[in-house]
Amino acid sequence: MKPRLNLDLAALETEFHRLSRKLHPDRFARAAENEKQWSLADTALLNDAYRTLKDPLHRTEYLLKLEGADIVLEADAELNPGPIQAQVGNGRKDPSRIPADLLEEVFDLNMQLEEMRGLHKRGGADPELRSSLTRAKKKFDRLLGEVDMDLRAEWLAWDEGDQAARLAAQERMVALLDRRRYLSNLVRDVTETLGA
Amino acid sequence: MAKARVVGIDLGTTNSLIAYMQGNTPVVIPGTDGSRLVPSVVALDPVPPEGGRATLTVGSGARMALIETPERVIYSVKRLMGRGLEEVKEELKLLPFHLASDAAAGQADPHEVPRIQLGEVQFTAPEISAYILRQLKRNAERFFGAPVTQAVITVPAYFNDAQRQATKDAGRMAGLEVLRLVNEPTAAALAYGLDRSKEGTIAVYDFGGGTFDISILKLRDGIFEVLSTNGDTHLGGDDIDNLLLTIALDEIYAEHGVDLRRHPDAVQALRKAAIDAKIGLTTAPVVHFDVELANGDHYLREIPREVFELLIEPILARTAAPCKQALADAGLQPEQIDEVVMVGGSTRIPAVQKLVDDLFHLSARGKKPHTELNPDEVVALGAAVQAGILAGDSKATEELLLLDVTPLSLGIEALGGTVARIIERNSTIPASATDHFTTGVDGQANVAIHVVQGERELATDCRSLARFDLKGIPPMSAGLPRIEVKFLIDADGILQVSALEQRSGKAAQIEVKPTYGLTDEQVENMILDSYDHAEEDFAKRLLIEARNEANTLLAAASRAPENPAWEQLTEEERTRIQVAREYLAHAAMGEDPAAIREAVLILDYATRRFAELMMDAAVSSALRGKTMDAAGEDLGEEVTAPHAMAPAEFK
Repeated sequence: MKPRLNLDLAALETEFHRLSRKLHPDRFARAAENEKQWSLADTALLNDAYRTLKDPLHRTEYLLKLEGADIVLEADAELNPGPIQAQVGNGRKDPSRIPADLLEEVFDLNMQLEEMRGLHKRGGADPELRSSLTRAKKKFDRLLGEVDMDLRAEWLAWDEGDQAARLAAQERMVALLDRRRYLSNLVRDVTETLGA
Repeated sequence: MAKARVVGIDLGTTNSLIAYMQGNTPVVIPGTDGSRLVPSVVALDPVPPEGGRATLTVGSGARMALIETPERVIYSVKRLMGRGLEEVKEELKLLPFHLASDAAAGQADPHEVPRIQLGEVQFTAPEISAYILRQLKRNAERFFGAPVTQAVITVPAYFNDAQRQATKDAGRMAGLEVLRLVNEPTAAALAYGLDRSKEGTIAVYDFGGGTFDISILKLRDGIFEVLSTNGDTHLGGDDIDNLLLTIALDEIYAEHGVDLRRHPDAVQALRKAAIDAKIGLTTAPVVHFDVELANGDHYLREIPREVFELLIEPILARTAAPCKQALADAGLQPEQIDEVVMVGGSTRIPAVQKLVDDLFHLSARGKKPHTELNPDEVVALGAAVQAGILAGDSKATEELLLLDVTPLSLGIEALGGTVARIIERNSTIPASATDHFTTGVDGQANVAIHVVQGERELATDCRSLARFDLKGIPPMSAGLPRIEVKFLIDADGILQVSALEQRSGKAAQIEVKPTYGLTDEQVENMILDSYDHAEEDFAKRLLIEARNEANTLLAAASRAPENPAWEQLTEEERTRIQVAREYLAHAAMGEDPAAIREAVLILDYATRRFAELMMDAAVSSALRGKTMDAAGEDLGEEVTAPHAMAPAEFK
C-alpha cells in the first residue's frame, strides 16, 4: 500500500476492522500468556496507526516525517535532563517559528491576554477587551481554516507528482504545519483566557 | 470436557447482577431468594456465641440488617473503590460508615488503602466488593451445579485506573479470574445490539445509583466502536436520595425540634422513605411522607412531582455537560445520533427522560429513547454477551467485537508541575505511547516518574496514578542515558509500564507504587476463600448450602400454622404443604444437593398461595402506616419469597 495523503477513509476503516478482528485481545482471552502479550502489543500498534492515519493533520505530519521532513510532532516528547524528577517537554512553544506576517498582531494579542488574565485575578471585567479578544479568536479560527484548506491543496501534488513536485509540496506543507501549530496554540490560549 | 463457563457481572452501586449466555440469549441468574437483583449491601453477622469470626451476609438479608444494626452494614461501597484516604473522607460525609479508628485519627499511612470499620472488623472497599462478587459467584454455581471461575465485570466508563484495578482485585479475592473489565454503557450497547444487525451511531445514557456515564458508539458489521465517552463518577440516584433525606432531616429538626442525624437507625428508615418517595413519583403525580418520630409526633410532607423535579433539576443538569463534551469529542451534532439507549434505574425518572429527549432532539425527530430492556438488567446482559465473545462458544457473539476507549488522558508530570499528555482521552484501547527519559546528575542511578490521569493542565489537578522509579541505570554522565519507557493501556483500561535503557540495552527495573491501591501481596492475603472455605471442596459446599436453604424453609413452614393466613387455605392446600414439608425434611437428611433442591422447589411451590395471602395482609398493614417494603421485610422472617427456579420449572 502506497502512503497517500488523500486516503480513502472508508477503506481505511474496513481494514482497521478486519485487522482488529484478527488481533484484538478479546480473540485471545483464553490463549497462552505469550499469545496474549503479542495480541496486546499488536492491537495497541494497530490502534495507534489507525488514530494517526484517520486524522488529516496527524496523517500529514506522520507521512511527511516518514519522508524525513523536519517536523515537531505534538506527541513527541523531547529528551530533557532532570536532576531527580524526570523532565519532559513537548516543544510546542518555539518562538523562532512565529509566522512573520502575524508578528505584530501576535504581539498586541499577547498584551491583551496578559491584561485580561490580570483582570480576572482582580475579579474585574472589561467588555471592550473581551469583545476585542473574541474578534481576534474569530480571525485566528478563520486563518486556521485557511491553513487546513492550503494543506489539503498540497495533498494531490504530494500523492501524484514527480519527485521535484513532491519535494516542493512537502516544503510548503512543513511551513504550513508550523503556521498551523502556532495558530492553534494561540487560539487555545485565547479560548482559555476568555473561558477563565 | 466442555470449557468452563464465563459469566458476566454487573457490580453496581445499589444492586449487582450475574448473567450468562444461555445459547444465543443473555440471561440473568436469580439468587436464592428468587430476585435477580442482589442488593450491593454487606452485613457483618453477630459474633457467634461460641466465639470466632463473624460471618457476612450479602444482599437483601444484609439490607434488612440495615435497620436493626446499621453499624454492622455497608452499602454503596462502589463509591469508595480505588479512592484514597482524603477522597474516602469526603465520600463518608454522605454515608453512615466510619473509617477504621487509626485512619480517622490520621495515624494510618495515607498511601494505604482506607479501611472501613464494620462492627468489630475492618475491611477495605475491594474486600467488601469481593463478598458481593462471591455471593454472585455462588448464585451462579448453584444455578449451574458447577464451579464458576472466569468472569467479565463491568465498571463505569469514567472509572480511572485505580478504580479499575480495585475492581479487578475484588474479583481475584472472590476467586474469580477477571477476563475483562467492560465499560457499563458499552455493555448496554452490546445487549441492545445483539438481536439487531443494525448500523449507525448510538448514544448510551447511563444514570445509575452512584455514577453517570455517556458513551457514543458507531455500529458497523458487528463491530461496536466507541467514539467517545464522558461522565461523572460522583453522580447518581444516591444524590437524589441524599437530597430528599437532607431536606427531611432539616424539616424535622425545624418543625419538631428532633435531630435525627444522631440516630443512624432513624436516618436509615428516613432514607428508605425518601427512596420510596422517589420511586413512587415515577408513576404517581404526588407522594406523601409520613414518618413517626420517637416522641410520637408525625412528620408529614406532601411532595408533588413538580416540586420533586424542581429539587432535582440541578442534579440532572449535571449530566448535560458530559453529554455535550462526548458529542464534541466524537465530532458529532445531536441530530447525528441515530438512537439513544437508556441504562440505570435513575433513567426511569420522567424528568430524566425529558432531559435526554431535549439533549438529543429526539421527539423533534420523531424518535424515542430505547427502554425496551430493563434498565437495571441491561448492563449485566451486556456483560454476558462480552463473556460469550471472550469464551468464543456462542454463535450469536461470533461476529461481534467491542472496541472501547480510555476515558481519561494519560500524562506525565513535567518540569514546573505541568502535564505532558502521552495518551489522549478517547483513544481506542489497547493504546500505547513511548517516552524517553534521562538523568540530570553524573552517575545518577534512579529517575522518578509521576504518571497522572485527567484533562487538567497541572499535575496537582489531575488524578495521581503512580510514581515509578526507574532503577539500576548504569553509571554515566548526566544526560547520556536514554531510557525508553513504554506505557500501555490494556483492554481493561489499566496501565502497564515497561522500560529499557537503550545505551546499555539493559531493562531498567521499575518499581511501581500505585498512589492508591493494594499490592499483589495484599490481594493474595485477602483472597476470601483462603480463610473462609479453603478446605471445603465444591460438592460439599453445594450440599451445605442446599441443606441451609432447606432448613430455613422448613423452619418457616413449621411456623406457618400460627399465621392467620393459614386459616384461609383450603384443606387440600394445607395437606399439600404438609406432604411437601415431610418430603423435604427427608431429602435434607440425604447427601444429594440436587434432590434437596428439587424438594425445596416443591415445598416452595406448595406454599405459594400462602405467601400471597400473607403478602395481602402485609399490604393492609402498609395502609396502616408501614411502607410496603418494610412490610415485605417483616414477611421475610416468616416464609421464603417465591423461589428462584420455581417459575421456570412449573409454569
